[in-house]
Amino acid sequence: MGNREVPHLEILGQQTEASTLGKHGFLRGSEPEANDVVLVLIPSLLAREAGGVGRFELEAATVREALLQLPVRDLVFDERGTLRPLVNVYLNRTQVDDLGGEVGAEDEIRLVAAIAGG
Amino acid sequence: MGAAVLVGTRKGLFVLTSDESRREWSVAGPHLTGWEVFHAMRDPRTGTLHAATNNWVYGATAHRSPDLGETWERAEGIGLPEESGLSWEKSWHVEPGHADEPETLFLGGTPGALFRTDDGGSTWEPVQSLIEHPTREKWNPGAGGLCCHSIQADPSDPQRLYIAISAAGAFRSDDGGETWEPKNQGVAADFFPDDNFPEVGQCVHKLLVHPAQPERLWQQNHCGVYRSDDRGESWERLEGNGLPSGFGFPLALDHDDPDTAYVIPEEGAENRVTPNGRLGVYRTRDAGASWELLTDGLPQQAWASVMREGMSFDRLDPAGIYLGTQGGSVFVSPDEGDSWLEAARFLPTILSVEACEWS
Repeated sequence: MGNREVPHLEILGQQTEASTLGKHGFLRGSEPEANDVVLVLIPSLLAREAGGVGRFELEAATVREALLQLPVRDLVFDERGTLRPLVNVYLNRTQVDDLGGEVGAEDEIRLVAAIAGG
Repeated sequence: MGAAVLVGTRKGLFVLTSDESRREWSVAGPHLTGWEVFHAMRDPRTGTLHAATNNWVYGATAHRSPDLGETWERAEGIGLPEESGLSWEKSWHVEPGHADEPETLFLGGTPGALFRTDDGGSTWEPVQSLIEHPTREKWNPGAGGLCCHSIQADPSDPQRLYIAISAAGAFRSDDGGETWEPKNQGVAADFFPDDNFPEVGQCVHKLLVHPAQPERLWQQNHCGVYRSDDRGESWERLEGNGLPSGFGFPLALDHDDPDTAYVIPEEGAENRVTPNGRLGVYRTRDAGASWELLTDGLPQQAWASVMREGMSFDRLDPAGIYLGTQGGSVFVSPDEGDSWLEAARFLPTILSVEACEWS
């Protein structure tokens, strides 16, 4: 976890300075029964839209819960909350279709755009 | 004050700049890499750049830049209400509202929908009256989808707006977008076997209001070139008098002369290239009574295509006319179409050009 850069995280609509965050990127002692922290990695285009941040450490119980905290969630999901069909989600390097699957500490979620186009 | 052309392409936004002579051009960009820029413009009221942006994976949205492209912000949460059963598919065109409402803009796109912002583009709300338009079930998508591609604010009346949708036709609102009346009388829909002049269903390719004579509208349609002198109440078909074809997509005007217009005909719907193996712009100076071919400086051997947003005009004197081809060339006429120069080439496929001031 050491070198992950988290200059800013927009978490549930609140902009939070990294310097005020705990080692996992969250305000210390914020929730007594906090969920585990998972790592979310997003492609470069999404990272540009997120202000240059491609790695997020997010507190979440499920894959969907983690992805909905991303500042680019409107690009990952459509207006109905449906995952866009050409966005593939990998949990610990295995593609998952069920975004309701539980996640735990040290899990890694990676978004990969479908490979095609011209 | 310099001149600029915002060039939206399949692979980002390019900015061409020049001095007022408009004869030497520099190319900057691309901005918004990874995004297809269907249209971009500089809001003359605020100086902000706005872009209608699409990505085949991440969907349709809009971006704006308050600092001439140094930084960009994406509009979030653009979407159609669940009860409509519609989803926002493509952002096609972003247009400033009336001069007296500098924070109001409109964003049009697929599926035949319009968004409005009253805070300069931070938040966008769907125009419900268009989603629920009583004629919507009669609308049909063109090859580019059911796209709302033309949006025009009447400079003489903040309440009056025009839109055009392929293939639904032209609509006018006299109450700031609360209601919309079809304005397609006299406009052909030759592709319907039973009724060639329906209330709606026309395949408008581009619609413009003349800025100095706003009761005059021009329209390049799938089925002809048209002019209206009564705010769209009736339309007169204008080809057969110098134009090789009534089929084409882009349209440009002369900001100072309501009788002048420019089109780029294509052979027809089944062969969408410029006719006679060359890139020709056709100009009328008599409100469409006659058309002349402009070729000076344009390639004489070409099978080109210019998309519906691919032509523009500036507000300088003499008027500058601009076009961008799908082959990635930008041509500029600094003298009302009399002569042309190639300002850029080998850009990605050009989707839009829009002239603006630059400083």
